[in-house]
Amino acid sequence: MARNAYKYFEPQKIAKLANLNILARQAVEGFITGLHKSPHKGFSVEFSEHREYSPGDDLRHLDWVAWGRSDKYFIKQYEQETNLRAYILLDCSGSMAYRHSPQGISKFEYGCFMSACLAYLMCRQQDVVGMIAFDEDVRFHIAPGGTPAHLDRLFKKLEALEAGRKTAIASTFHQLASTIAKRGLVVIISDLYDDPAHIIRALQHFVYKKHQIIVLHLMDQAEMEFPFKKVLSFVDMETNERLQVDPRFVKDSYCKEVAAFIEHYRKECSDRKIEYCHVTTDMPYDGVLLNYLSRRKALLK
Amino acid sequence: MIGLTFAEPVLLVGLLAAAIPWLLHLLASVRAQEVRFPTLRFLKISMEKTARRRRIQHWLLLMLRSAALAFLAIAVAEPISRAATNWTGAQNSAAVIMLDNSYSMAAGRQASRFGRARTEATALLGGDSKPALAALMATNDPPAGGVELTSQLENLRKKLAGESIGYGLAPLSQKLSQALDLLARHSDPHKAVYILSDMQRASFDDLAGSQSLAQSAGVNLFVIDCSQGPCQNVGIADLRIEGRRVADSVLEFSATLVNSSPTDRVVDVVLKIDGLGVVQKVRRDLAAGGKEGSSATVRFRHSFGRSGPVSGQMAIEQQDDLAADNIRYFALQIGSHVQAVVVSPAAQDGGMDPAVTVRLALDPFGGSSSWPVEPRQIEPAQLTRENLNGADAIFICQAPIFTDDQAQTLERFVREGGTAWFFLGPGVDADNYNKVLVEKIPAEGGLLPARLLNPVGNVGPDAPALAVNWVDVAHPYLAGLYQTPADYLTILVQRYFRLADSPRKPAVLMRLANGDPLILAKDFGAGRVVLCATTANPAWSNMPTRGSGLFLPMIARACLQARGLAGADPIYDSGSRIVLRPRLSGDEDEEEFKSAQVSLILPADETGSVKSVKLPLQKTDEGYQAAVQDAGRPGIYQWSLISHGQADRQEGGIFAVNPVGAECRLEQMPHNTFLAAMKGKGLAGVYLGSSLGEAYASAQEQAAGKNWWDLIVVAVIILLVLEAVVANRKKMIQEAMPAHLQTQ
Repeated sequence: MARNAYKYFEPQKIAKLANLNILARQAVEGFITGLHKSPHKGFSVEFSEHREYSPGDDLRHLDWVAWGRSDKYFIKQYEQETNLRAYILLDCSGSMAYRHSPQGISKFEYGCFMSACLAYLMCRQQDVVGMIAFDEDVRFHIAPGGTPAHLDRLFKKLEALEAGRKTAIASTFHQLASTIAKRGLVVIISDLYDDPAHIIRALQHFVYKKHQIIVLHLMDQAEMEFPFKKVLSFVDMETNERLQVDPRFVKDSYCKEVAAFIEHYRKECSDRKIEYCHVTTDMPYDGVLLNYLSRRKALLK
Repeated sequence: MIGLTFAEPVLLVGLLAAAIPWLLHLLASVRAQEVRFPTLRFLKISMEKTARRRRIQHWLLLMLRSAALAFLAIAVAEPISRAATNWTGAQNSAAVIMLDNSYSMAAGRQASRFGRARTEATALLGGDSKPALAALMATNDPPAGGVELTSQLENLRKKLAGESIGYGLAPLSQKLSQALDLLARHSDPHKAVYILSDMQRASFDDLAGSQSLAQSAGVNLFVIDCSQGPCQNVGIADLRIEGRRVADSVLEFSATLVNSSPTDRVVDVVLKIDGLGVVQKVRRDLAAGGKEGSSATVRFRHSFGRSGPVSGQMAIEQQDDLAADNIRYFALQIGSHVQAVVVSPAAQDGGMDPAVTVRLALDPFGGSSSWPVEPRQIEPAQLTRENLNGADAIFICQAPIFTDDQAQTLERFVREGGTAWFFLGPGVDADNYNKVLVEKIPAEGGLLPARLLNPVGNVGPDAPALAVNWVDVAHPYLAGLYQTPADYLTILVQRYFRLADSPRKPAVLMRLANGDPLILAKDFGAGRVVLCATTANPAWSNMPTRGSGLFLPMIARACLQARGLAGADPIYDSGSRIVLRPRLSGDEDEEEFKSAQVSLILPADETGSVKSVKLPLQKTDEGYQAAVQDAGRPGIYQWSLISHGQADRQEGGIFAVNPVGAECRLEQMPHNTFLAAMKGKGLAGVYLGSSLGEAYASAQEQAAGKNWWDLIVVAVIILLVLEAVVANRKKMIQEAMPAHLQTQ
């Protein structure tokens, strides 16, 4: 069996996703004809609407049926299809390095696997994909591309990346929203450990810029269930702050707070038409993507 | 007071284990393992929210764990409680012996309970554990004014031998209080009260229900149950006599039978009249004591054909273990026919006899000897003291005026228990009535119930009449004559004397439609005065004619009930104070009465011998009287007045004495109930046994102490369970919830 050339790219798992396309839910701007609706109207195969005839219009697009019914001339307009420009925003802050079980993978690693998988899928469907790794600042920014060389570069960048610095998600998002010019698909993979209100405002900034947002909210199962038993001194992975806790006393309250935290993002994203998907690292990422993309495809039909 | 010692005090070192949870807590706080975690934001919020509960639960757990270890150490050391004031017997002890000599103590087959109690008391005074100082109290003896603690125990033994059964309830609470007062005056370190009794509930309920006993600190109470098991006994608890005490009138004798035996009983009850023997007999089945049907009522009816004192008894023929309650004695004073005097002026020519209907009411059969009333009629001028001698009731119809002497005669007559009726009518001088019968008799607001005002109304076929619209249907003169109150309202009155309001508020028997009273009654002295504002004949009203169904019975009842006002029957409970009041003739201040005596013949004792005692006659505010001090024995007592030696007996009578009825109920108070009831009354200890030795054994057992290790182990287990519950409370709640309801 041949070894994988890349750490975070597993072709055998991506094979399961071969029949799925990542479709944009709204019109996006591209530079080639692809799978996605373009905001620019033209004459293509997908009918869009009528407009009144004006001299000089190509008579091939005159709707004779409409003329027969209304005795007026209407020109049929069609939607253009274009390729998708996607950006994957991967959080590589210190908190993303958490893994509860030594045998498991960290949130960061999980995010890298998902990023690689998504990048490959989009390139395979003729879309272009860019990659931005960030923590309190942008760690690297790979402009969108769709060639195998682009993917190679992207995978290697991921392998070289390490998590471990503080988080400043909101400010980074504002910065990125200002710099990404053309509207496209923005996939955010993060544990979102920042002020939720600030993060939501930053996401709104993307929406304002007419980007389509998918938030993959990554958490470790232990962060949700808090499976600790004895008294422990917890050390914050980003700030090194310490807090001694008897888990028996706080577990219930902790779990409620985390559930409320997730629910808050779920609701705020829903209100802003941002796609939100909560993911835990104990779930196989290919299975998660398969479920998510299948469900999404069904919704878009 | 309870002292605590330990069988293995060395093992109390284990109490140090109580510090282990605290040490573990401190060590755990210092050496907590570090764990890297993505964010502390949720932990901080949770810590803030659960801070108070965590603190409480934390300290509670620490305390429970410490307490569990401490209790475990105490249990291992075997704590033993000892009574702080152990009873050790004779040394320096003072004791009061309370001997129950109520008549239930006479019960028993071979030996009576009282005999057993006396034996135990003798053993106490003569045995190895005899007290240094002692006093003897019999519960039915007079108040223990002269009882003192003495070291002369031999004298007490002699006194004990002379004690006998009384016939009243044992006032245990009162006697125990006296005993404690007696002991409180002495400084002996060991004090005890011994109650030798059958623990009859009737007496012990009083003791168990008493408040905290003053002066009881440091005093041990020993109760020796001398009952020797249940007895066969059916007793007569009470005797009631209903009816008029006049010759030829039927009296009803009813009594309550109580079976205290452990088995069902069949008894024959007889009514015996002295001089006649058994006159009636009935049989009753009684269920065993404590069950439904263990009590029954028997009734006899008998009429006495002659007047004078009569006596007798109701008795159970079958013998049982307690003889005294098989007989209830009675003594009655049967009067001759009720003597009624009708005072009325002679009828005027062509006029109507004012008293014609009164005579008809008092003598409906025209002189029949079986009718209990003997009326005689006199003129108003003949109203003298001599003419009223022996009379029970007087009916005065339209007497025009009274002289002062007549008024005094009437006042004395009523004051001594007679009943006087005044019917008004034509010729009555209201001013004379008011002056002589009200103003000149200031006592109790005057003899009449109200002052007379002017007569109102006219008589004649066409004259208007006022209806009686209210009758006191509950009054003994009127009760039960008709089914409904409306049936009483048949009387019309054309003319009547208006009666003034009286501050004394006499009873109104009838009232007219305009609110004026028609018949008023008031009690005066021992008697009664009734005033009717209209005539007794049909001249002014239809009361004697159309209202005769009301009028005739009312007059007859008033006459018959006049005898009932004379006083209660001479029947007393044993031990109660009896005062004899001879009716003296002549001047009470005469020298001969000052030296007079009452001779009292007592009932025969067990040997059949009859004794008599002489009681001094003493002058009091209520006249000459003699107090009977020695009326404990049940039976019939006869007394007579001796003013000039044996030959000159002037006055006498009989009375009956019975045991207190409640004593025939031999139900016993359960030992545990008594012990529980006596807790918290301040006594150092309460020990109970069927003998002195058993009570001492109980005291020694308590003094030996109780090992509490097993109960403390149970406490440890409870503490551990509590610890587990507190520590795992949330977990248990979550597990109890269905998975789909748990927080995601």
